[in-house]
Amino acid sequence: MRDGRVTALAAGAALVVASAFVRSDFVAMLFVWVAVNVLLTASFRFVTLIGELNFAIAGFVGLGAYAAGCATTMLDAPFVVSLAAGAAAAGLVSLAFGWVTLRSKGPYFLLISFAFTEVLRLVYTQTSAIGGNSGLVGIFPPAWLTGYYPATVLALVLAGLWVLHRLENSDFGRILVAIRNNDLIVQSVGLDVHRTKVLCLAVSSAFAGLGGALLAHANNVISPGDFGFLLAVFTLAYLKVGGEGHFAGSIVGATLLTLLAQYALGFGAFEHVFYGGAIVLVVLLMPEGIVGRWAAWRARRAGAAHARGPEA
Amino acid sequence: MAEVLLEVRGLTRRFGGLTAVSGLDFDVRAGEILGLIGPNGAGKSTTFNVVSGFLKPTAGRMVFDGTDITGRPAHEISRLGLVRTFQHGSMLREMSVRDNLLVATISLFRGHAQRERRVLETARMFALDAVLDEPAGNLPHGLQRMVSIAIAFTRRSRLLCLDEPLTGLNPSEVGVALELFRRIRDEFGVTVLLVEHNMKAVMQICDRIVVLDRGEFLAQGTPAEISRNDAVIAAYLGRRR
Repeated sequence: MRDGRVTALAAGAALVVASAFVRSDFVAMLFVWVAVNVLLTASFRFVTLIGELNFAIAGFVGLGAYAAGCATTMLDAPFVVSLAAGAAAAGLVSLAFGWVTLRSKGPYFLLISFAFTEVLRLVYTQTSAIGGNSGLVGIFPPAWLTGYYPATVLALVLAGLWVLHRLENSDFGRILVAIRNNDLIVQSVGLDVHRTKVLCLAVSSAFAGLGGALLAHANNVISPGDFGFLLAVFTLAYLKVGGEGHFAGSIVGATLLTLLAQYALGFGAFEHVFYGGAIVLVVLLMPEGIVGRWAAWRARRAGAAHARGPEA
Repeated sequence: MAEVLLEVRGLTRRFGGLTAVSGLDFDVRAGEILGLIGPNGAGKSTTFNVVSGFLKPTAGRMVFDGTDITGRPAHEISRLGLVRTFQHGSMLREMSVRDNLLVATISLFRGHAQRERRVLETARMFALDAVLDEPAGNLPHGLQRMVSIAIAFTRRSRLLCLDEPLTGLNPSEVGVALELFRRIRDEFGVTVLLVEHNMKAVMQICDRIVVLDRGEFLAQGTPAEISRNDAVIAAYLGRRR
């Protein structure tokens, strides 16, 4: 476990350094897209720890992107401040959203969270101050980051992953999984389930907001359509393919599908079929996802080695 | 007479037009094993859910250990020392037995050493120490029952409320469980409130019994008194109408 973390950290650091030497704009953008999608998928997965599929994540990505976009374009806020604004806006709104909606669970919560995303999208299209249907333009990273924006995004995403991983393996994370298993028992041993669920959603949403802010500065343009429920469906696809049972599942799934999707772009309108197909295939053929399948294979091999005796 | 640990007065709970529990009064005395019995639909489970804070009472008052707990949320009541189990041997299925017990200690202790000690102590008592790292959902039924009770007992609360803990256990397992309930009371001074359908077991282990019928108080007394009570016999055999 310890070794795994060191390896992961070293690989992450190597990627950050490597991204600083990338000369192709397209490859640089790929770095950013993969990194942001990994962060979004990890955030989405964080809420699955309490057993909920949070389609509001797309709404919170949008809130983060619009808050950061407004801060940068309208207030001339420093880059760091506008990122913080993105994370804070999403986190704070999710506190209120979660407080009201997390009394429900399962399909009910899923539908509410889906509606939230769509309502926000409609609100953006109707608000001319933030560009209405055509969106917000001119969201640039600061000049001093020229050439190093992918490295910055990667570093921030790695930091986010580190925080989420730490939280998952703390008391807090253990309580989240316990809530997914049986929330009544968790209440019966003196823990405030509702508050814990709201906090879980807020943490996830703050990172989703940060992801949105990073995305806005990478694409320079955001529009309401970027943050519809399809974004949540993509995130779900990343997680299902990677494997929701393991932290690394979000990383593997988001990376793989984001890279493959560059190829699917050529399919035109059939692009979305690609994601749908990916979900169907994975659910049918390996419901535990790539990382889950790999972990099972390793466990079996370890078991076989154990059975063969100490010399193996 | 022993001090009253839980005082329930005028407890009423309605679901729409249905009155599940109506004007119920009873006391749980410190250090006793009190049985709460009644035919199906008598309101035992509702009483249990209201007392433990999982349902709000429509009317009435509950005082636990000197604190008014009426309408308080379940997790606060649990922290005050009134802990319940659930029917059907509920546990955290995907989690190891160790984590099942550990979760119960989180709001008790800050220190990991204390938590670990408490978990091991409880596991030994419930004969779960050999399966500590098994996912609880993989255990045989009898052991799952033990896990569900062990979760609650890990807290060493003042009052332990057991909701039909013997359902589905074979006679030898019932014997083991009853012995455990006695030890919980004798060795740890935990008062026990027991809802159970297994009459033989209830008569064997309880110091006193409270009988409900159709949401109302029907009788209370020692097992010997209850087994001779005409109203109780009539309620169970359905002759009262």
